[in-house]
Amino acid sequence: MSKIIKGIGKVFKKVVKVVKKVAPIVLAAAAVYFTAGAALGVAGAAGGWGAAAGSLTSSLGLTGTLGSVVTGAITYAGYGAVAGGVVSGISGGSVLKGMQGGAITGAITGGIMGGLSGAGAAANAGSQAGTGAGSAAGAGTGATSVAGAAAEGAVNGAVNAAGATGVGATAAQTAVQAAHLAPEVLAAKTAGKYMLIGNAVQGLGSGLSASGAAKEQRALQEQRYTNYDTGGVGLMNAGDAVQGAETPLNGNVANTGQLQSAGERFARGKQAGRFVQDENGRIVYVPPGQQEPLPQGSV
Amino acid sequence: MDEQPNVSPEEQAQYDEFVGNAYALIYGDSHESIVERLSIDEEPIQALAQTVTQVVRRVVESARQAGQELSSDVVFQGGVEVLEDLAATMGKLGIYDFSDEELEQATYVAMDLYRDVEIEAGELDQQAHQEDWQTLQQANETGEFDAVMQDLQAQSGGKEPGALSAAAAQPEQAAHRGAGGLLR
Repeated sequence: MSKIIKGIGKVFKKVVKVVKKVAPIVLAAAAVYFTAGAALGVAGAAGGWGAAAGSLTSSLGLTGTLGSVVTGAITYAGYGAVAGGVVSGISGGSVLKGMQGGAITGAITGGIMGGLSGAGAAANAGSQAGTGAGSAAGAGTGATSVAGAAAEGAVNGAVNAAGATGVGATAAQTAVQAAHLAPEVLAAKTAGKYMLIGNAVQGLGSGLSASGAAKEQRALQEQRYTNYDTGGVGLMNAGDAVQGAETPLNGNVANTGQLQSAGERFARGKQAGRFVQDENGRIVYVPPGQQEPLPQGSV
Repeated sequence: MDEQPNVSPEEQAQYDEFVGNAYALIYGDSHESIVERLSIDEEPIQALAQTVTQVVRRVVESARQAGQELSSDVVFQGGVEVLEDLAATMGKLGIYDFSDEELEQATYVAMDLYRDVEIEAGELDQQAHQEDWQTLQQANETGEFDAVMQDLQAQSGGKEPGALSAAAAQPEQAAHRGAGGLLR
């Protein structure tokens, strides 16, 4: 991502209307910040950028407004808050949390780090501080470098608002809400001339699921239970829940709109409701004890 | 009032394509994982920055595999739009409501992460960045950089980046400030 400095002042029409905006001057500061670190060529993952940040004054010649932008951004990004991170680490707390809290004291730390000379010296002499800072960046880098899993399934699958449920009932609700957030986003996705490569998407899913495939699998299973919400015999019931979970989502299956946990679903399953086809060919849920399909929209 | 676009139709088309694909990623099959990722982190700034970095990286790689090299401007500014959108999403979902300052912090953290990814992948063109840096330094010395930043500050409604406020609070940095700085 070189030469982004040249793009300062360029204005693109945004794809969607955004509520939270990064101000143009912050955009420029970010471009300067990226360039400064890239010119230095050290990776934060190794603690290098954080440790070397204090040496920027001498190694990159930071003066004037340019110097203020870079050192200010360093502080704002958390590197000036190394003291907070170290204290937090000693006390057994979250280093990242300490980093953020320590950002308040960034002025002090920044001054100390600014006194270090040379990137190498900073990396060595400031190893403790550098490690703290590096761990913050490293946490992210580790996550971003997760290799993509094998690509399977629809890459550009439709964004299915009804199917976009999340993990468990609460997360499912938030996910559904998210799917409804920006309709224009959904339309925008079809505008691409190059399509997303399968392993990009799958890899993203793997990378984002910090707790591993098992958790993700359980969540997917629970989501599918919830979507089907059969509650009894018919297409799926409590007894064949696992088998049913592997069934692809079917847009014709009427959803009650009531997202439930797996436990709630199984509780309802004992009441032995069923799915039948109504006069429009839609599959609808018939509660226990009721003989005829409910009118459309009432389920 | 929103700024008027000033890029070529080709640049805008590439931007639309890039951001559109990023949104396809976010609101598509990986949406649950993304919402989960945004929700579980105790540090919303880190969560946002990491997620944006991953999404942008995936789309860039995807384009590359399709034989398309994206403009850095598109990746940078498109990535920022994705960050803005995800921040708004987090707010709407009740995960976290970012202040302007926190959004700025997340932007810098995302820059750090993305640079790290490029370095690790051996893709960072350090020489090009060093040339850029020299250009910046020259502009800084002639006052041109101040002028540009002042113009951008006006475009930002007079807003000064929190980064500059942070820098102003650093005694060490204050001592290194040149006399010509306009953004005080």
